[in-house]
Amino acid sequence: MSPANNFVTQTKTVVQSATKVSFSNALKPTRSMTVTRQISALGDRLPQRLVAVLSGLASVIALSSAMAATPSAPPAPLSVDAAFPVVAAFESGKFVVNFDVLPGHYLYKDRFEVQANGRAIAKISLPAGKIKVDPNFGRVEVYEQPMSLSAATALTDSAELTLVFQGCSAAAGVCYPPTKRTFTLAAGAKDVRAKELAAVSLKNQFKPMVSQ
Amino acid sequence: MSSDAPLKPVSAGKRALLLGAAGFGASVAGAYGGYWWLTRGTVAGDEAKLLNASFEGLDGKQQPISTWKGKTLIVNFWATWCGPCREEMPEFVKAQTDFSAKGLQFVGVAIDRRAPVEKFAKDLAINYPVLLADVSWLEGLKTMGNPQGVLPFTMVISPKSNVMLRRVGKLKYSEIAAIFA
Repeated sequence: MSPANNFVTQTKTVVQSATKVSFSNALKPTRSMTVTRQISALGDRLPQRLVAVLSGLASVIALSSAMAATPSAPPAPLSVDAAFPVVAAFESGKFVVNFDVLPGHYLYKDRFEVQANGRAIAKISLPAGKIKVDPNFGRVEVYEQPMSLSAATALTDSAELTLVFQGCSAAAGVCYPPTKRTFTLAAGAKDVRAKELAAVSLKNQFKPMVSQ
Repeated sequence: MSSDAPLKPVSAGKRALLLGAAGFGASVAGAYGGYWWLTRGTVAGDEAKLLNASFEGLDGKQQPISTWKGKTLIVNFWATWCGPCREEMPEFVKAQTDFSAKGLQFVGVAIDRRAPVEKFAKDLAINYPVLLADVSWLEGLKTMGNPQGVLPFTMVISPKSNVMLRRVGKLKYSEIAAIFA
């Protein structure tokens, strides 16, 4: 008898015997015990192996499908506000902006712009960054760690501070577009978050770098 | 007399079945989770906006994306200020050369100013159409599989206009080659 036929015969025996046992258990407990032991000996091995093989195969197929659906995709990038949380302060005679650059991200030093009440502030104090030799842009200075910038101002009362910055995620292999954030600051204000993020016009946000 | 003795093998079988079912369930959940993660924020059919759109070419003429219907179309959104975008483009130039005969058509859509795009296209000798898009497209891409509106972003569209792949981040030559294998 071939192994396949043998398997079918054994399976039939198990099914038939199981049916027999279910009826006979109520009527003849002693005889049923004997039959059940025989089934158990076979059932201990065969169905478990069958179930294990089938479930293993099913798991492999499902995992293969999952892997096929994600062909070497890089990790998903964070939102720009999650990658570069920023707060601003209006200290005596200057604005101070603090960036918390998350690991795996960086900001370009030469892409900051600051405006106060709509007027550009030309002189921005920036710390030394890390020199990165970029295959496309050559030597560029970037910030991979939390950093602060400051800009002197003659304003004393309150101001609307506008900040443009641009950075990338090295981990995800993407760049965020130039991002504009606006803060309403009263003199002495600390750790103020940007207002109405969603209301900032994307087109205005791009004006300095991408106007066509 | 104990009635538990004959039941032991059966409970072991059940245990195997439960373990198998749990493993299978976890795999299915994982596959579904992966699919959800890849397509989160994607509005089904929104890519039709792209397929029906026209962009300005470097020659100043409007170029509809439908021009390339029937090809295996790879639309790559990029910008000159985006390092990863610039890094992957030489591979696109090679892929366009290698798989053009098999129906591949690359289209680069730059969300950028004309002058730097023209310079970069010339320097790299880009051998496929380069078009210019308004910055508002970054917002539009958010429902096409690019929820953060970052670059590069690439969509592979079949000759029957079905989206085969959405990639936030770099697309490798080997992945393009696999499509035509």
